[in-house]
Amino acid sequence: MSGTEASVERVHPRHRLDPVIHSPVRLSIMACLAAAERAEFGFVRDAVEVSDSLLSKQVTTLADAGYVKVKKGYVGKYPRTWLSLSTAGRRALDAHLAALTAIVTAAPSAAVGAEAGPTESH
Amino acid sequence: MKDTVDDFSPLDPAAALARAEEARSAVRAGSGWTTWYLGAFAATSAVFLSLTAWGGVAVYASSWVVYGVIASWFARRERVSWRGFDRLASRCLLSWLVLQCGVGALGFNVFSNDALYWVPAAGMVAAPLLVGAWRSAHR
Repeated sequence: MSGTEASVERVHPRHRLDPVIHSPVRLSIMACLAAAERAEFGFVRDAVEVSDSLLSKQVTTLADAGYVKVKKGYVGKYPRTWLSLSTAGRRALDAHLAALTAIVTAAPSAAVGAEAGPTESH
Repeated sequence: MKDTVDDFSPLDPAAALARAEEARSAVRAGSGWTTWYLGAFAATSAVFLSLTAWGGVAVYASSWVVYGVIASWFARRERVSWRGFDRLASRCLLSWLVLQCGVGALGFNVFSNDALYWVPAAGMVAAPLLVGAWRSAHR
């Protein structure tokens, strides 16, 4: 085993938490969208229990990070905004949830993980 | 490695995972319409095709136009669908369309006005949609 691999194994799983997703509201939004083909803005707002403005702000952050896709359209004469998770967003969420699970279970093997790729670039 | 996340984390990991599961549950609950959607499609298909023996192709085609408009409108106004539903629905509709064309071509050319052909054929054509409804309910 090389020195690099050994150092990766010793890294605590909290270092793999994604700062963009780590906010409780953004994590909830991402988890909601991960289970959906797409979801209407109002549905996510109700599911996550936040205001329109807060959801809009958090969605903008996630969209800027490339994790969420936003599509605007109409149903009849009513405007609708549809949200869905991008491929990068799905990967990032999986990695983040894996890190959280590793922290909770505190399994020694959980620290090995770079399979989903690092989420911090610092 | 520089810490960048633990300073603004008011949520412990177990609570975060629980919250993520809650959000997923909300999607599952909100996607219940997909089962009814495919089930209603199957029932409508069976009824329309069964009535073809009496109504003929003109009634059959116009009925589908009306139903298609209503079904599209209904699906568009739903707020969420579970991940994978688009693929499942596409496969079901494609299978249904192939069966529909085959059954229709044979029926209109050979068994026109023969209920003994159209009623069982209607059940066969509706089968892919029923399978889709079942899979949607047991996802």
